[in-house]
Amino acid sequence: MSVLTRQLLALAADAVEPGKPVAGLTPAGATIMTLSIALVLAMTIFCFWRIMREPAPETHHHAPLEIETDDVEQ
Amino acid sequence: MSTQPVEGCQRKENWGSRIGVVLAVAGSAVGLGNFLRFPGQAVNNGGGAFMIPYILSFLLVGIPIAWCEWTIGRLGGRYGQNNAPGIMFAIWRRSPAKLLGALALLVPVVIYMYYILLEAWCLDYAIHFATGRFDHLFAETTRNASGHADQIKAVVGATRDFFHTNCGLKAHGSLLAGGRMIWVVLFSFLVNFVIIYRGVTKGIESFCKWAMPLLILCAIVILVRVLTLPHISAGLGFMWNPDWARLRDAKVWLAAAGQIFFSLSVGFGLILVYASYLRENDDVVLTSLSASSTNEFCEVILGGMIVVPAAFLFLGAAGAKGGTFDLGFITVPAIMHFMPLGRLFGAMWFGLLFLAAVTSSLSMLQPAIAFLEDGFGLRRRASVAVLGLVTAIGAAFTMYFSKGALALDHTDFWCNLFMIVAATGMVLMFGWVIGAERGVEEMNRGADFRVPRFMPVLLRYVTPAFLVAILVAWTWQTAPSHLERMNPDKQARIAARAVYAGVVKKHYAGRKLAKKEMEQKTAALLGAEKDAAIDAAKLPAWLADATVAGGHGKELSVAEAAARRAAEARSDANIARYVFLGIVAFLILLYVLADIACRTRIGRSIRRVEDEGIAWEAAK
Repeated sequence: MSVLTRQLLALAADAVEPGKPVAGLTPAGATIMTLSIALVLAMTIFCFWRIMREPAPETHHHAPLEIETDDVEQ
Repeated sequence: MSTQPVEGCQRKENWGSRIGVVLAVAGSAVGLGNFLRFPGQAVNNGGGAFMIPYILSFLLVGIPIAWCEWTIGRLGGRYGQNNAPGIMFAIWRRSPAKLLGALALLVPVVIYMYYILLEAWCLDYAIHFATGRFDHLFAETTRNASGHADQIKAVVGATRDFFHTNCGLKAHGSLLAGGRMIWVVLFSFLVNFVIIYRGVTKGIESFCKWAMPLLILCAIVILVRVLTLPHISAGLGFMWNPDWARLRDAKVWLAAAGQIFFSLSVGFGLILVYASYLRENDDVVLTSLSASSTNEFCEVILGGMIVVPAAFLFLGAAGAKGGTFDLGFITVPAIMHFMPLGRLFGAMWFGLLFLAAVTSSLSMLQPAIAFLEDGFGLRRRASVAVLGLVTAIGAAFTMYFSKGALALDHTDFWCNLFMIVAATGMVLMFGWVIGAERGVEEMNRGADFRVPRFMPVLLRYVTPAFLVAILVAWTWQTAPSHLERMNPDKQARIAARAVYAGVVKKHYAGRKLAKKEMEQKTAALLGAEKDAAIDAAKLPAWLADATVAGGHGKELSVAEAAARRAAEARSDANIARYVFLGIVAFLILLYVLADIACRTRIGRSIRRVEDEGIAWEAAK
């Protein structure tokens, strides 16, 4: 990262609200953020794990390429 | 299930794989709202505290409505129906079902008419970043800026000006007057219709199967970039630090419920149609939950950690608190200027937004395509051509009346309203027509795990009540200003008074009056009401004889300038009326078409399915 960019970042952190110190992530904010991410991530992983572990269906489960649908004109 | 073709529904296309349908439905939900609207809503409504009503709304409203819609859609698919009016009519043989079906056709098609424009904006921005045009623009504008504050001001000013000029927000007709944007819109239009022409499996599913992972991958790369910026803790704190006091504000709860509702794209026909391509024992519970959780992943984890923290870091609190458009098309390009490798990340960001928009717009087209095919026996080529023509006319209207996003804004308002009405109607149909217990029984068919036992009670009472509350509160909040903007006389008076108020402000500028004192002076001269009629005879000479800039270096008398502005405002109000009338007329047309189709082709095909004894027993 260039020196200029570092300076800009430092300035931005100070200058965002002049006179007011920039608050970092508070413990409450970090907790809410972590819990929200954990909840969403857990749900997503759970769902995709359940989908992926499902055995391949006995029936032909792919688009029946040999049976051309009427709506798509070749 | 019968494999024989049924009259009126010869096509029986199905999804190729379970992951394909999950990604297609998630693709329809993931859009600009996830990456831009959600962080804006959160930061303006209590930061981390917003997540409490948000998650509750997701559990109590979002997931149940999605399950409802998936179940109704799959049920309709068993009758050979892949179109909203047919699905609704198969389940409930009454006129309101046709109206709900017509609404489920109207909302996606009309949204598409302006959504294509947003899609084109994203693509255009991606091209600008990729080709280095933004770098050139920023280099020009920051040449004379010395300090960081000046640089921010110059860059944000340049992106704002670029957005307003390039996207046609400055004047009506500017987008259609030639230039690059019209070609970008046409290209986006073509991409959508080529994919939709290829059908559900070969078109939508195939596209979403690579577009969604690519979109998520791009967002993760950008997320890593943002999280490794120095001082990012400040940005994350701005987004996530909770303001618990805001939880006492009802508006925060409404905003959270609205965000969930609009984000999941539930209740107005998109999922209904996609679900109708499932087989009768395909799992709707897990599939629906997977699509919803993918949407939440994009919204909370990717959307909540990128734009606002980065905007706060580079542009400050003011830059990070904007509406969807400001945040997306003014703030983000400015952030990219300050971010290392911003050109690359800018192209990647707007590229992923374009992909997200395409996957969403495909789902908006499919309901109408399916209706034309099922209801009127049109072949895919004909149905694509008809829909292409209709949406092109609507998109041209939106593109032409682009000043201040006038047509887009009004269309969006009415669509949102009809969307909540349609969702409420659909949930009421599930809870009270099908019956919550029987509906949940149908929902559990083929499910990997059963839905909670309290679901019937939730779907019969809680979710409809929640939706009605959203409908009433949302209408209460937004309708008055939109209805006011449809009043030509009032708008003309407001515009004329604003011109005179500008002169008053200029006149007293030297005295450095406080805002309240200035308002009092203005009210004394022009009347207290913002739409007060100006009586030229009662104005002081300095005001009546003043001149204002009329553009192109010309000076106009204040009366002449006010008359011009009033005429423009009157015209804009009339356009807002035409938008409303056009949407209502389109709804009536769709209802008539749905009625005809249900009496003829759709009705015959449903009866045929019932005669074969494969119908859902409750419908008999």
